[in-house]
Amino acid sequence: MLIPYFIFLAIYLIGVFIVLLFGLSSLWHLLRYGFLSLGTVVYTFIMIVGTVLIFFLSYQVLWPIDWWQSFDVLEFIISLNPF
Amino acid sequence: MLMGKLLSSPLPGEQAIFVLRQHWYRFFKVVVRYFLVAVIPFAVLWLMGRYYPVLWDKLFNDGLLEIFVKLLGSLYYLGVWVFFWDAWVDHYLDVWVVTNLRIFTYEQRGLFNRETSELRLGRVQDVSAKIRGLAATILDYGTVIIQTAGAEGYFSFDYVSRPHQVAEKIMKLVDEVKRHDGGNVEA
Repeated sequence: MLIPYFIFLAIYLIGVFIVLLFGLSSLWHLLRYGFLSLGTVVYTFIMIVGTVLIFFLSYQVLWPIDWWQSFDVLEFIISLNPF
Repeated sequence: MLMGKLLSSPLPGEQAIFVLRQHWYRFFKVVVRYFLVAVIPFAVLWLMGRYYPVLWDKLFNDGLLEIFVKLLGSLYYLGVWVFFWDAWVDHYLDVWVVTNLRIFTYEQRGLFNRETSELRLGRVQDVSAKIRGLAATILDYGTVIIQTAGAEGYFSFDYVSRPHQVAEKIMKLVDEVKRHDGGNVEA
């Protein structure tokens, strides 16, 4: 059975979406219950910069992969057999 | 701005005396924990490259496994970063506001779980502070415990800076309120 690689990319993007949703909920809590100060602005800025940096590095690592190629599940399982 | 945001409906003549947050040492422990969580995968990879180069080659030069490692690595670090951010928000949103009439506690317990309590100073029976442990003694943080006359029993706030001074200040405010109200605990 052949499975295209982009399925994993789709699952990854769903994971990224869930994590980002969590981050946005956290930001919402800060804006809803906290109050603006230099500290909150600086920490929020650092958080956004860090997230962008992680996305940038991920893009650099992931873009060379040919996501349209496929792999054979049976062949892969056999390749894991050490004997 | 602070009063407006933290006290939605202040009583006439009510003024914030002080706002308490948890001691920085508590967040420092969170920082150390997340730092270890971020560094451990690099340490494992380094050890793998040094002692199990065959496994390293399989992970980073095999088409499918390489893709798994890269996708999981990216998601892992994004998760660590966002959860670290959430831990900071959680720390930042735990606040005690002591006014000349009431004590408010706001505690963030994860996402969409926020507890707010209000205690009138007239209902306070006793205020105590305790410092336990080496770090707490050196850095002067601890727990302030407020015994109340109501069904709630007691309020406690952990990781408060200078807990004995805080307890003393609160007790002075309680005495003032009780003196002003002639001992009426329902004030």
